[in-house]
Amino acid sequence: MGKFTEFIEKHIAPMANKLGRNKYVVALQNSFFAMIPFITVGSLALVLISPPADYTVMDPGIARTLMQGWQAFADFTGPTFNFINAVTMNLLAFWIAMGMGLNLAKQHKMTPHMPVLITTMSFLIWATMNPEGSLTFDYLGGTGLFVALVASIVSFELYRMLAEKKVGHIDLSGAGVPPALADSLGNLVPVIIIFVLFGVVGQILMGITGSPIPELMTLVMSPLMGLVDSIGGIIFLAVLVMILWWFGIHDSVITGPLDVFLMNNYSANMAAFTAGTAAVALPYIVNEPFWWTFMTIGGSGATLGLAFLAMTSKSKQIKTIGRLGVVPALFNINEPLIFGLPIMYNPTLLIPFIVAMPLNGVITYVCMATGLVNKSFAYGGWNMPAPISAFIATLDWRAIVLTIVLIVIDMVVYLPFFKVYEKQKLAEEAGSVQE
Amino acid sequence: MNIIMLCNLGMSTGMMVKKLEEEAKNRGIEAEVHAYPMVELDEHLEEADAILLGPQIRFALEDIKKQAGEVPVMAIAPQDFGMMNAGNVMNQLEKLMKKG
Repeated sequence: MGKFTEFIEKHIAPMANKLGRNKYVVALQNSFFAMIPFITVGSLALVLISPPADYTVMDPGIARTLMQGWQAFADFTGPTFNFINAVTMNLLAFWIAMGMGLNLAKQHKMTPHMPVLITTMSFLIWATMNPEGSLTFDYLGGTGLFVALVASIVSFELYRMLAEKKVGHIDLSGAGVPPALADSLGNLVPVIIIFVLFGVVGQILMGITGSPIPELMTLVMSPLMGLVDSIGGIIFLAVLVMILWWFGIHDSVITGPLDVFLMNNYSANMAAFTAGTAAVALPYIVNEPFWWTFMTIGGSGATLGLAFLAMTSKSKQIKTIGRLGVVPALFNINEPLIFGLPIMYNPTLLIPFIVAMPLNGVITYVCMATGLVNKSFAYGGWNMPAPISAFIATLDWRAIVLTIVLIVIDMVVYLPFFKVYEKQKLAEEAGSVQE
Repeated sequence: MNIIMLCNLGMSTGMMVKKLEEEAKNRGIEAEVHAYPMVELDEHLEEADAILLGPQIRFALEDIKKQAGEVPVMAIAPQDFGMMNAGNVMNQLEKLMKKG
């Protein structure tokens, strides 16, 4: 155990740190993070105009009246809320392309205005091209996310390189030209080079394959997408994340890139639901709410159940941490538990910490694959208490039951190991009193 | 005194920020504590008198030290962070500031 820990400390942890601080991972993470309130609002807008049951086929009663009222509300507010949903979710890739430009510029201490325009427009060139020669606006949402990432990174780096080497920089500083004008003229050649390059590369790719760039990108990514949307994939990813957390290392190195896949699947589900697909028949199971609502109940490691156990512990230290940690845990923040209990470097709690979250994933996957619970198509945000966000995600009361069952299962998984740890702590505490 | 606390996204450190401000007040130190995501350090470096790292990013300590130059940098011990033990953190910080 000691040697293993040392190995991780010396080699894996610094690597995870380095990768997690990789500028593209950081830019990606920050771009998504900034979008969370908008994604939540967009989801709520959709949920509000989607009564979970059709009142016309229901028996008379309170439930029918309720659904009828909801439907009337939906009919009345639908036009407005549909727009809110459309500008947030149906343009997701567009906003991410902007965010990438901003965040990459920030990290290079550049004035962000030009980089944002360049990444966004380069993305638009690739996303709106269409083999028929007309513009298409089908790929500005989740289906365009991979393109948004590649286009914004490539165009940003091209621009940075051209700007640094002053390629085509028209120097007008001596000619009495106002600085703002000199700047925009100076950028003229780099912008032409980047846009022409994007246009030509896009045309060539489309000419060879006959399909739009976003579809090509999806095709290239499909093996990975298949891995993410499978039981094996979620077990593998969740175990990796939990091993990192056990060493007290943030999981951004994995969840940063993973979020692109989760968001892609999530917005595909939302689009299918809006188009009238039944919630049990949506294309993907594993998506943003699947991971952040059903798997990480209480935070990574599904520690809400553990927080409940800790609250009522006989050990003073455990009880203090439990009381301190339970409220943040309801909102899926568990740093107090990880660092205070501690779970980190705690061999007694290693097994349940690694097992609980993938187990939640497997159970949820099976429930959704068999149609026992709706697949998710809306997202309440990662820090909304699980039963509430589970209902928002699926508009299915059975999802609420599922999360409560999962919390109980997590408690059972933690319980035996927790008892052992509690005993150790009690012995320590008794020892220190006698001293 | 202006203390900057860094973590991954500036979220989980919120509770600690409050505790540290209280602790400073009790000690009669005029201190403001702000939490920022690690990438935004550059924007706030000028106003910082000390920098604290959340334990989840403690492996970035050496890099941040280089970036911070003269400003003292310290990673909060995991146990202190978990127990929200602002007293301990303040003690260590004061020691560090005296050395610097």
